[in-house]
Amino acid sequence: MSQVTAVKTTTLDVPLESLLIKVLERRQANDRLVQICCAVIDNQYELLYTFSDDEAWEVTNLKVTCSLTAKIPSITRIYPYATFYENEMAELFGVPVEMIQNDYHGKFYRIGAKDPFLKASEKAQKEKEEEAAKEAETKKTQETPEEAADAPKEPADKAQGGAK
Amino acid sequence: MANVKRSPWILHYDGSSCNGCDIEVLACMTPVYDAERLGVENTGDPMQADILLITGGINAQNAPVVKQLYDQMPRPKVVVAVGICACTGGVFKDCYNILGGADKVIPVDIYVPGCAARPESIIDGIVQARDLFQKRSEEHDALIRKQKMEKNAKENG
Amino acid sequence: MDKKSIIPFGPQHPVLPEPIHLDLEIQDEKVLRAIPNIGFIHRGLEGLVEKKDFNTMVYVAERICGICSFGHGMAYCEALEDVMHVEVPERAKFLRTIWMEFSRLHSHLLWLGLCADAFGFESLYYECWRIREHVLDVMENTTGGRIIFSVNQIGGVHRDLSDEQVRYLNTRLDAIEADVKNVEKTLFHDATIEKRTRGLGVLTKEQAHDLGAVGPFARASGIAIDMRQTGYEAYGQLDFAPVTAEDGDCYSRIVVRTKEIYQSIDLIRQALSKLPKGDLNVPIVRGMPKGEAMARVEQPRGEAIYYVHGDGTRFLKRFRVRTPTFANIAPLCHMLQGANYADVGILVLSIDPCISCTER
Repeated sequence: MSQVTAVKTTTLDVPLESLLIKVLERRQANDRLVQICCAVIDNQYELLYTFSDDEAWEVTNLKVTCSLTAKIPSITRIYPYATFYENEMAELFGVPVEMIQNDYHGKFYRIGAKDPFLKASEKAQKEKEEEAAKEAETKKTQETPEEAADAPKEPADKAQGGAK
Repeated sequence: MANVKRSPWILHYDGSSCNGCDIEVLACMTPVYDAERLGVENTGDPMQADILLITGGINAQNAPVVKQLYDQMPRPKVVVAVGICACTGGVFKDCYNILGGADKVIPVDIYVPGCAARPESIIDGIVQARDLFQKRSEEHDALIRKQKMEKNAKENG
Repeated sequence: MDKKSIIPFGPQHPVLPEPIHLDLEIQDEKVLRAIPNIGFIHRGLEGLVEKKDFNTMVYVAERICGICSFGHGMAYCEALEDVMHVEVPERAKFLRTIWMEFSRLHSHLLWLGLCADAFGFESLYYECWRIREHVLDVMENTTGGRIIFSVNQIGGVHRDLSDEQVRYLNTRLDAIEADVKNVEKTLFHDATIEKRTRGLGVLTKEQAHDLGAVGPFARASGIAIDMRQTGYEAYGQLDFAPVTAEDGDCYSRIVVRTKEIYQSIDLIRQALSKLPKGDLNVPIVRGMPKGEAMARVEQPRGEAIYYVHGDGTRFLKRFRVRTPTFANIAPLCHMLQGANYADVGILVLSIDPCISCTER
């Protein structure tokens, strides 16, 4: 007889910090990574990671919404073949994915245009956010030498203890 | 067609085609449409090819490849753009990665429109290419003969 | 003796119908590693959603690939019908199923021919493509196009099959089946084919699962998964079970695709016999697409995903296609490790690569 299987689809909204744990859970359940999709909605990246349990016919979507400058961890250490999806995302959408195994560094498709799927307004927004992030970083490093001058000095024997 | 002196060999290259025109080009070489009865043969070697059948538009990646293939082909040669994407860019003309038709990088002699181009149109294009190739061959032969005669005249007189 | 060299395979190669570039790290004629470099057919057509409205995008979706054309158009419409909550009439579902299976027939016959050409069996290549012309005649008779059909619209289809055409299809199917049976004797029993493909490019079931293989490539390794089991369009009303093989080598892939040809012929016959009367499409009266949906269909090469996201305007926000060959590149690279350089062509062809689908 024909096999009509009702596919159970669940979509979970996952915060960026929990992405790796959730992907590990999928790996533990022996799910197959189906695809990773990127979209830009309201000046934010919306990443959709789809996993499928082929025997039970269950599909799990992990939806990650993050800012245009958020650092996304690569899942290639868990699913090595995710490298192609992540390279594509990085090249076409400018998604800052870090620690990709087999990183093509923006030369996966080798297109002439940079981040072609970002509209001009979204590119401007991204640059603004990157500038703001840079300024915040510079402010932090500028404050640190002053704080170090105020902080109590570390005891000398601690350093000698390490050398032993 | 009287006095067919040469049977040109075809090199088929897919620029950025959806593959529709490519399989119609291959269908032309197989039974039912059989362009091979005209003496043309599909070769994979650009240095042995006379007619370049190019499908699909030109994008950033394949522009140097197409140029190189064209340069590797010995003269005389004829270029046929098969399918509307190779002619003008087709439905993908507005894409960020498509520069346009094949004539953006190489000189095209014959345009075969269609999406996908029908085998009858492609064979018509091949027949016209063969006639053009014959004309260019004869001009090339005449040029070589003239150059030889001039060289002989210089050496002897 | 320990000298390694990197040999470029593609983008122009006699065995490849489409440009794909692989950098093969070779030592003593054995491939150590294969690094894919794609992008030659990248048109960036997903970006056209900003310029073409959701109705016109069907024509762009169909032209993602000429071989899998019908599936792309159909699945794009399915995804949008899901977003706009449109129920397609039963007759349209059956017609879509019939055309989809014809599309699969022509794709598998095309692949069998190219595969034969890859190991020099030209007469078999010509015979497979001659049989394929029967299928294309059918497509032209019923849709008007040989390769790009343009019969799908959001809400159904806009061409019908008359009773005379149904009789014509049944006659043609008998002829196609008889021809394929003739060719099968060569495919399954010829010593040269067995020598070139048995034991070549073995992918075990576990490897196929861990690398995310899909379609006949995965089914040849024993994974019995086929999106048609989910019953989209009219598949739920037809008798169907996935075709698998156990050995996971190139020979098994030939066997699986040939058996799927018979399966497609059987599915078309079933669908023609059960074809209900009714409308061809429903008009879209309820505004613009708003929301997101994902359609999963079984293209001839495997599972294909179509994701659409609409924001209530006539231009979609996102249209993303993940095609089966994109998923099969990773297992292909794994399969090439340790292979002979002379076998690279046949190994690459054995996954049935459709690079225009992959790169869009």
